[in-house]
Formats: sequence, structure tokens, C-alpha cells
Amino acid sequence: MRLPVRVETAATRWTVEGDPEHWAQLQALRRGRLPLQPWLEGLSSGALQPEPELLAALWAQLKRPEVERLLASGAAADAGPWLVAARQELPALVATPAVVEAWLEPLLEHQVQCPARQARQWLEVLAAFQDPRVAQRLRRVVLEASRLAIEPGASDGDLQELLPLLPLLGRQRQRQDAPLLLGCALDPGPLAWRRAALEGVALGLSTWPLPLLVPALQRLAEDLSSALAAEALDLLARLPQGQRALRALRTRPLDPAVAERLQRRLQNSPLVLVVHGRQGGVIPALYCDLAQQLSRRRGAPVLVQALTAEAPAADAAFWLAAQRAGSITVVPLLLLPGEHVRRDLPALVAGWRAATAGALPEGAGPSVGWRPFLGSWPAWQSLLGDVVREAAAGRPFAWLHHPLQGQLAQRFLHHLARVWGQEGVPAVEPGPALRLALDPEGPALLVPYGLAPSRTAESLNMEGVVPPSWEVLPPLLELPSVRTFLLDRLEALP
Amino acid sequence: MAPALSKIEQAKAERCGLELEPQLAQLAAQGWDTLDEATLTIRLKWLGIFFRPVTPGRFMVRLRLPNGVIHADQLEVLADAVDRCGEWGSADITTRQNIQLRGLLLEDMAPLLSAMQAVGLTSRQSGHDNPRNITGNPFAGIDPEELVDTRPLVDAIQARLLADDAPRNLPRKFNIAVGGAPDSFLLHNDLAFLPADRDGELGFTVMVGGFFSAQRNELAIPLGLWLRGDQLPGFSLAVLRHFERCGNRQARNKSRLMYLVDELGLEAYREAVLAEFSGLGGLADPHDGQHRVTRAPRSGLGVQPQRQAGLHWVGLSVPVGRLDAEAMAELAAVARRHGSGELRLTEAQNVLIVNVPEEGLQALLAEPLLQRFSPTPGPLMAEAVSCTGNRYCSFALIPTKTTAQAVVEELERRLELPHAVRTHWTGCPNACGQPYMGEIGLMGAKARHDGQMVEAVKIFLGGDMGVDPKLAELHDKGVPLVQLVPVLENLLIERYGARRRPAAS
Ligand code: HEM
Ligand code: SF4
Repeated sequence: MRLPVRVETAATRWTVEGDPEHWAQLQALRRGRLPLQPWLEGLSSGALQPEPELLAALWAQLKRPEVERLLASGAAADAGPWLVAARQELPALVATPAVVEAWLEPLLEHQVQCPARQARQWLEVLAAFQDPRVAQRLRRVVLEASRLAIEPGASDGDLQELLPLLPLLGRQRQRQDAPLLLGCALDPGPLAWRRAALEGVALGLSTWPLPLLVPALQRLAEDLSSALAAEALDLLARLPQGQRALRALRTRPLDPAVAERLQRRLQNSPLVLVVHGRQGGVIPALYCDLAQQLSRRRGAPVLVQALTAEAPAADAAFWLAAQRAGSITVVPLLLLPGEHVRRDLPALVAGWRAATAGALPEGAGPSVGWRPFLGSWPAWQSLLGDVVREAAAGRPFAWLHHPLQGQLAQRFLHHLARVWGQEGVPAVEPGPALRLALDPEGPALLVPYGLAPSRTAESLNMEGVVPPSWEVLPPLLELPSVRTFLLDRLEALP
Repeated sequence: MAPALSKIEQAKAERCGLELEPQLAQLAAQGWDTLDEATLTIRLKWLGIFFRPVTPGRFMVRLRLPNGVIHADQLEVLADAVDRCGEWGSADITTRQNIQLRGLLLEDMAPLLSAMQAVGLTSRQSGHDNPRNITGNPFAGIDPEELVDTRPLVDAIQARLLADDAPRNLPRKFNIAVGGAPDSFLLHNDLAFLPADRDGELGFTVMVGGFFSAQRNELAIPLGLWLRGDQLPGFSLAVLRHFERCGNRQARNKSRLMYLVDELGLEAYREAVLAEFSGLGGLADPHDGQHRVTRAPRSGLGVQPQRQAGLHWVGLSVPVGRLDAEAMAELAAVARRHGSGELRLTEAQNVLIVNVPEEGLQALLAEPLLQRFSPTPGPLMAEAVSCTGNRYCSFALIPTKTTAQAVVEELERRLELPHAVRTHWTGCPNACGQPYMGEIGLMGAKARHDGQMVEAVKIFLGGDMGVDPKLAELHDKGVPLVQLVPVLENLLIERYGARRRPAAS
């Protein structure tokens, strides 16, 4: 690195605080337009007061021998002005190799030699540097203070001085300090102390092991201090998988303001509703309406995917919501355990996992989860029982389903028959050829077991397929009770 | 031999900050303490992310809001970001009709930037050596006195200047503004386009070189060129490209545009910019610099009729421009409930709810939010402008915003004023609060009082943004804050026609 050219002026008139030219002179010094030596001389000899603004202007420009000389001189007798200057200047400089090289070792050495109070202030100066030795010194002091903090009647004054050290310990980002910082935040003690500890946690957030961090923050979210609880909640919301941890808090007794904050932080995952679809991948409009309304209610995108078509394109808003929620949920709006559920669905979920890996950077990727198929939900089965009984109003009825093969499917059909008190009838072929294995005298009501219009169901309305005296129930999704059920249940999904 | 590049110039030349965007999530995971100084304090500003030494680890994000226009759904995204920072979170309305958010962790950046993108917001190139937020008439499109709607012009300039082939490494920051009404005072910008006639056609005359700093303060001067609205983007690009190539990169305190104009001479500068412009296929006409801006800016506060019959805007005073998450969410909700969901920000750090139908006014005026952000503030609060101050800025010599608010409130308790008086408060000689534009300008300082160094202000008087613009001049070089209220009280009585309220003794 080339150094800026210095303008050597023969006689520099030092200005002091309050002097109208002082600010401009310090700016010039800071920018390297004034020679350093006279100022260093002045400071070391005591001719110049070590005023914070002056130290701040010099900080980035000194070399190790100059630092050593200054620290050994009377200018370093009081840590006070150095600390003020360090707070202002050091944070931006601590990763600059030249600054580390000039300051770290001399400060480490100087700090141990100082009497207690001075040592504490020098420790704070030192703590801006990320270094295991610095972390160790900080840890020792914080550990001691934490014992003091939990003593009833601990003097606030002493702790007050130590407060800045907690965030600084967090900034050291040493995984081993997680229990100490979290302990300080959780244990009873002065509020200011606990909050400083939590800020330490915040400033090193990505460092702490999640198995320690998550439960601790969850406990803090229930804290009596709503300020602590609120910050803990907001930190949980920033973690990978944080949504899961937040959801677990929904049943906890939270301060009302914190509970509201939790509501604001909970982010519903985007849904993929899997439907059968019609020939050529056409998705019945009923599903699109459902998705739109659901998306509004959930505040998250909802896509409809037809088994008969390519996966729909997910846009940036979808991925953003997925990232924020930490998950994508696939909900099969399928009614029977047929081939689709057994074979197509796992493939479809795998497809979303691959798409997720492609769309989002590693580590930020949400998980892709799926729910059991709708037909298997006990609540769905009992709702349908009610719906059909009500529509039948005491008349005999029959329900028609797509033919199914295999033992599992047969067991499922028997189960439904038990729940609804009526065997289902497989509808073999759509169109006029549809043969219903039904007693012509039989049912007054036919229930096609499908959410949306299908060819089979539509053919029931064709001339001559069923006697005019039979009533055919419309597609289930057209029934208000079914629609409400689905909206409510799907809205409540995480 | 090429002169040595300064540290900052080296940092900018090595790598453009925009390249950091895809790495934000990773940077957050590894921790900001590991970032080198140049990335932390310089390059991140290309993404609008500001490291704040006063609150290490709690970052600021400055947006771009062209012409100060923002919609409720956008404001909600910002409110949410601030809300997530709890007690650390806050926001400021800035003197460039812009918003900056405070208290964010580096972890917040990647999700915030994507969320902003989803609602059409950007924070790109809003800090450091970049063309800053482009300002325009805050009442554009709704102003009964409007000469030109500045919104599409401002948008087009921004689009041109953020395009891939536009400069990414200027020698210094660059302020651009477009005037659209008789009160568009804009001479504090490096480049200002003021509405002006030429042969009976309304276009813009070009003003260059305005800026404030610790060393020098200048109002922009006429460049002697006239442009049609559709030429503004190309011309702005030409000015920037020339500045990028020829501006001073050796001394940062001599690098604002006016120094380049000085160095070349106005004539030669004009020729050089014209050559650059013609390289882009542009041609500008000569002009005498006469323009249609004739008075100081309106505050726009209170209920104001729009150009559109039956609609109003309602200007609310946001004391010293300071917002919190709740206020931001509430502003968005109020704008949606009573207006069209659109809001405007003014250079005086206030906010307007626009497109409010006549019949909705009463309900709007009854909103609880207006207890806090009054449509009819006192004559000092209405136009009190303030920079950040020492809670967030390490240069600040005084807590600027809190002092400004407390002093103004106390003065309004004590005094009756016949008209508004514009006070501009700034924490240090860097002059971000534009003290030279205030009728009364106040600048943080230190002074000796009872043998102690104490917080103080320098007082400047006489800034004028009318037909005959003037910068305020130094009046007092150090009034300790403890004495400030009585000193200002007397000034206001002697010079601005204030009277003591009977109740106050
Ligand atoms: C384009 C051609 C097809 C159409 C239009 C069609 C239509 C339908 C419809 C509307 C359903 C009711 C979905 C529900 O609500 O659960 C259904 C279910 C079913 N389909 Fe198809 N289907 C087609 C192709 C196939 C093929 C090729 C197979 C066999 C490999 C098949 C097997 C089944 C099975 C087993 C069910 C029972 C329900 C389930 O698995 O969830 N379908 N079909
Ligand atoms: S004027 Fe000074 S104190 Fe105020 S924001 Fe600018 S640099 Fe900071």
C-alpha cells in the first residue's frame, strides 16, 4: 500500500479543543495531510493532552514502534480518552492488517500491566480486535461479573462499567462463549446486564450452536421483561429453521405485545396444491379460485400443480416466501390412495427439492414437506359423511369413485364405506358406456367422489346415463361447506 | 507518472461493491468483523448498506426513492424491516426525499434486499461516490402550481444512471435534482435542472456545481444550456461520465463538481460536457440561465387542494424526520385507508398523504397518528431540518435531532411567530443538515463554558431560497447548548417578529 503524500510544514501550530480551526486541523491530520511526528512528540512529552479527537485522528496511521512509545509514555496513563477514541475509530479498522499489526500486541502487553480500573478500560479498547487471547481475557472478566450480577443487591454501578464488554464478547464469535452469554441473558440479574448479554448474542448470531441457542431464545421469549422477550423473538426469526422454533411458541404464555410480535414474525410457507388436472394439463378454474383466496388469507403464495402437466413456474416472490418461511408444503388434494399418491407424489416432491436447490443458494434453501393426501384426513371423511347425509335427506344414495387396484386401496374403500355407511361404486368408463352397477330402483342421489368436474362425473349428466329422477351432486368443491372446510384447514397449515 | 491513488480510490478501483450482493448471506454468516475496512466502510455502500461505527454490528440501509414517491406496500416492507430490529430499529426521512433504516444486523440484508426488490424498491448506489437519490417536486402530478411533472423525468434519469454502462466509480458523491414548480429551490445540487423557457417552449436550464461541505459552500451556477425533458437522462449521463474521467481523485476535499468547473473554467467545462453529450447523440441549446423558480419551497403541510378536482393532499410534520416501525406501518395504513396508498416525502423531512377525496378528509384528520405527526405544526417545527446527530454519526459534536426537537418545542412554548422560520440543524461542519440554507442554521461545535468544554452550536443567519438565493452566514461561533434557548428566543424576537406568549415569563 502506498502512503498518502505528507505535506511537511515547518511550524505546525497546534490547535486545541474549542479552537475554531481545531476541527479542520484534525481532519487534515486524519487524512494524512499533516506530519505526524510533531504530534507524537507532543503527546509523548506531555506537551499535548491526549484528547480523544486527536487520538482518533492518529489511530489508523501509527506503526507498532510509535504505538509502543505512546503506550509507554504519560499519554497512556489514563485510558479514558483512548477508550472514547477507540469506540469511535476502531470498529471500522479492526480487520485492517496494518492496524492489527500496529496495535494488538502492544495493547495486549499494556493491558495486563495496568491497575484494575484502567485494565478494564484498556480491555474494552483491546476487545475491538478479534483474537482468541482477547476473547479469553474478556471471558474471564465477564464470568466474574456474571457471578456478581446474580447476587441480590449487586451494585449496579460496578456492572454498569462492564456492560459494553458483553456485546464485545459476542463480537469475538467464539462458539465456546454461547453458554456464558446465553446464561447472562437468561439468569436473573439487572435488566441492563441481561440486555447487554443478549446484544452480544445478536452480534455473533451465526456463531452459536443452534441446539443451545434455540431453546435459550425460546425461554427468553417468555421472559417477564418484554424488551428481552421481543429481541429474543426477533433473533429466532432470523435463524435458519427459525419459523419452526417460533411456531412452537404459539402455545406458550407470552406477554400480549410479544404475542403480537410473534404473529408478525410467523411466516406461512408457500403451498403447492396437487390436483389431478384434466386432459392436456388443464386445471379446473375452481382450484385456481381456491388458490387465489388461500394465498390472500395466508399471506403467502399458493401454486396449483396438475399431475397431468409440468410443474408450474415458481416466481421470485414464491422463493422469497419459501426462504423466509424455511419451507414449502406440498398438499395433495387427491381423494384416493391410487397410483398418483403412491408413485407420482414422491416424484413430484423430489422435483420441488431439486428446484429449490437450483433456485436458492446453499444453506438458504427451505425444506420441502408434504401432507397426507386429502382423502385420508379423518376430518375430511367425517365432513363428507355429513355433507352426503344432509344432501340425501334420508333418501338412499350412492357414491361413485375412480376404480382402484391393490389391497391397500381396497382396505381404504372399505374404511370409507364404514364411515359413510354405504359401499362405494367404481365408475369404470366415462361417457355413455358408463355402466353403473346400480339397482335402477336404487338411489335417489348420486355422489361423484371428486373435487372438481371430471369426465366421468360430467357424463353422469348425459342423456340416458342415469334416470331423470336421480339427483347428481355437483363437484364437491362447488359445495360451500367443502370449500369453507378446505380454506380453513389449508389456511391453518404452517 | 500517475499520481498515487488514495486509499479510497484504491478500494473502489479494486472491486465494485455491487458485486457483493450475491454474497450478502454468506458475509452475514461469517460476521462483519472479518470484513476488511474497504468492504465494510466503502464497498457495501454501493448496495446502500452503511456500517455505523457508533453502533458496530447495527447497520443502516439507505434507499433510493426517486422524487420522494413511496407506496404503502413499499413502506410496509420497510416498516417490517425496522420492526424486526426492536428497540434498535428506527428510520429517518432525509433531506433528499429519501428514507434510511437503522439498527439492522448484517443477517437482515439478504432478505431485506429481496423483499425490497419484490415491491420495486432499491437501495443501490445510495451512498459514497455515487449519484444520490434524485429529487423532484414533492407535489409532482398533483400540484396546482406545477410547471412540469418531474416524476417521469426523475425516474428516467435514475434508470439511465443505474444502467450497466453508467459510471460506477465517480470521484465523489453527486447530487441531481429536477425542478417542476416555481418553488423548486435546488441550487444545493451538483446538477440541477430548473424549468425554463426557450423560444416559448418550456424545458430546463442547467445549473451546476452546488454543494455544501466543511471547506466550501456553493450554490449551483448556470451552465448556459437548455434541454428538453427527454434529454435530461442522456445529459446527466454525459455530465457523470465526464466527471468520472476528469474529476479530482487526489484530494477528496477538492473533488466535488464545482472544483472541476473551477479548474477547467465554465466555458471549457461546458464545451467538454457538450462534446461528451454529443458522443451520446445529444445536442443542447445555449441559454441565458433565466428560469421559472422564483420563491422558497412551500412546506406543503396541512390540507392542500390538488390539481385534480375533489382531491387533496395532507402534509404531516414528522418532527426532525424521525420514524419508528409503528409510525411507518401506521402511515402506510392511513395512506391506504384515506388516500390512494401513495405517500410523498419532502426535503424538509415531512410526509404527504396524497389523493384524499374531499369526503375522506375529516376521517383522515381524526386519525390518532396525526396527534404525533401534525398537519398544523408550530411555525418552527414545520420547517426544522436536522442531520442524524451523535446517536448514530461519529462525527457529530452534539445530539442533533434530540436537541433540535427539544429546543424547537421549547421555543414554540415561549413564543408566538407570525410566520414559519426555517431552522437547519447539523451535527458538525460536514453540513449534512444544510445549515447554510436555513434562515437560522445551527452547527454542532464545542465551546468553553465556565472553564469546561461543553456541547455548543455555531449560529448562521440569513439563508434565503427565494428569487435571490443566499447562503446563511456565521453569526455566532459558539453558543453552549445550555444557553441556546434564550439566545434563539432573542434572535427570533429581534429579527423574525416573534412575541413572547403572555403565559411565559
Ligand atoms: C388424461 C387422462 C386422465 C384423466 C383426465 C384422469 C382423470 C381423473 C380424475 C378427475 C380423477 C379424480 C381425482 C381425485 O379427485 O382424486 C382421477 C383419479 C384417478 N386416476 Fe385418473 N385420469 C387420467 C389418467 C389416469 C391414468 C393414466 C391412470 C393410471 C395410471 C389414472 C389413475 C387414476 C386413479 C388410480 C385415480 C384414483 C384417485 C387417486 O389416485 O387419487 N388416471 N383421474
Ligand atoms: S453533519 Fe456531521 S454530524 Fe451530521 S450527519 Fe453529517 S457528518 Fe454526521
